[in-house]
Amino acid sequence: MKKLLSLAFGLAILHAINAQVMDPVHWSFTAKKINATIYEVHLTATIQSGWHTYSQTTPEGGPVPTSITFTKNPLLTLEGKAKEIGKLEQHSEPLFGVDVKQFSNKVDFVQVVKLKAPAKTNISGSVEFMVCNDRECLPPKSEKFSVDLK
Amino acid sequence: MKKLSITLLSMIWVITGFAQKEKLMVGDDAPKFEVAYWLKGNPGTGIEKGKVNIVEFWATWCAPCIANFPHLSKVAEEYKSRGVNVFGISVDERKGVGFDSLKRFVGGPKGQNMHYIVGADDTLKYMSTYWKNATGQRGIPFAMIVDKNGKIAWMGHPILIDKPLEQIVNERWDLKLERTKFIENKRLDSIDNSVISKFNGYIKTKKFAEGLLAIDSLLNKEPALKYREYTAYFTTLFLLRVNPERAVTFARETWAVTDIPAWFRVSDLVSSAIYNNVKMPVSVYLLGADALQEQIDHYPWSMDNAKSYDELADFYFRANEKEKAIAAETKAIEKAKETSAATDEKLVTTYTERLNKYKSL
Repeated sequence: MKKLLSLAFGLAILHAINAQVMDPVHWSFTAKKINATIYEVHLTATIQSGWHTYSQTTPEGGPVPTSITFTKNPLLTLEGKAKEIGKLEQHSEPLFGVDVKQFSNKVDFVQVVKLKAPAKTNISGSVEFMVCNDRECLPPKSEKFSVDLK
Repeated sequence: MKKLSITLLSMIWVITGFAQKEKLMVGDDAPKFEVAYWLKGNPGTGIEKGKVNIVEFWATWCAPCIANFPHLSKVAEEYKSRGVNVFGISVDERKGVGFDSLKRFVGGPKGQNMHYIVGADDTLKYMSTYWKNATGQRGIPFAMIVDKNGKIAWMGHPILIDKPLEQIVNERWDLKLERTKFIENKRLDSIDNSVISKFNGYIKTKKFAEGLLAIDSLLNKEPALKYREYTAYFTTLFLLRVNPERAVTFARETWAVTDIPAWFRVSDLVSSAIYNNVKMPVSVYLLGADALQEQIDHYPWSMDNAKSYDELADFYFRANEKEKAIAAETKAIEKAKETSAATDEKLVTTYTERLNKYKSL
């Protein structure tokens, strides 16, 4: 039973296909307030069945890693790097000679942000990512985001 | 400064003007050929009239591109004496990947598989803009054939290049007809994409039989859509819930008539049925097993191989194929041991438990 549960996100909803065929990844950006000064910023990628996107820790010589850039905001500091919540699929790939670290279905990049003082502000930036399926890869693309912290 | 802004303005004009232009199609004149620099082989004067030229687009970060190097090399080898030039053009590389690193790549173990002329777009981005993207294509690998008269004769995934190339070289390629076919293909693809949101609706409401009727009425108008990617996907999905045996037959028919079958969609559907506790006949699990095996054979770079073999074992187990389940689970353990990920140690334990379960049956 545990195995069935581990099969994947998304299977539960019986494989509806994202209508945006040429955009296999749908991004959503949200913030979760932890306390007066700490927020979690979630950059969530919903990936169409058959496609993969790649971990920030993808070694050089493989696919282009996902990378997140935050615009400088004097009101806040970033606490460490963004964590990746999702089922990491890792295998050593002879085509590259390095390990491939990929995500299917869904991955959540979570950045903890600390406000220097309680205030309303926002956090913006961009996330660069690439996707491949079995047959092809789409070149790296950058998606901008801006999330209110309130 | 003034000069710069004029250049910038004219560039913007060119780019926006370009965006409004019709897409580059089969039958059109090939654009001017220009790369940033060459990395391997003797490009001569670039693409030549009187010769057939293959222009293929790849990147160092693209596993399906690298996987196709040996095939493209074989094509180049076979057609060398028949006046065919093959150019592999690196496009859309990541920032900082320029001449030096590309030269290293081409001289390295992967580049050893490139037995044709290799060039790069680099920051010039000419070939990606005026060739690849101009056709409306984003993904790579992607190849175009320019015929002896400088016309674009074919474009598509390089894995499919052999047949059209042979005919183009033999001058048995009816360019006018191919252009018509190309346009019709694009039209069908666009309808096939447009059915997605409509048919998703039948999934959400679980009205599978009605979904089938909707597909029937679509096929009455557009019979050529029957085996196209999304129409075929929804047909298989609906049939699996209404008449699983027919779904199996239909899925196998689709594989037989499709250039590059989307096996993963079928194995996903079988996983999904299992996940949702929908009981399926043995033939469905066998279909899923075949789909997964094809997937592993054709696209090992795209798979989490340990997980795939584990799933394959599960399909065989459900299909009452004990020996095959054991063989697949054994492979899963092997693959899990190959990776360096720490989590895979746990997987080895889980898979071993499953293997013992299959053996004890």
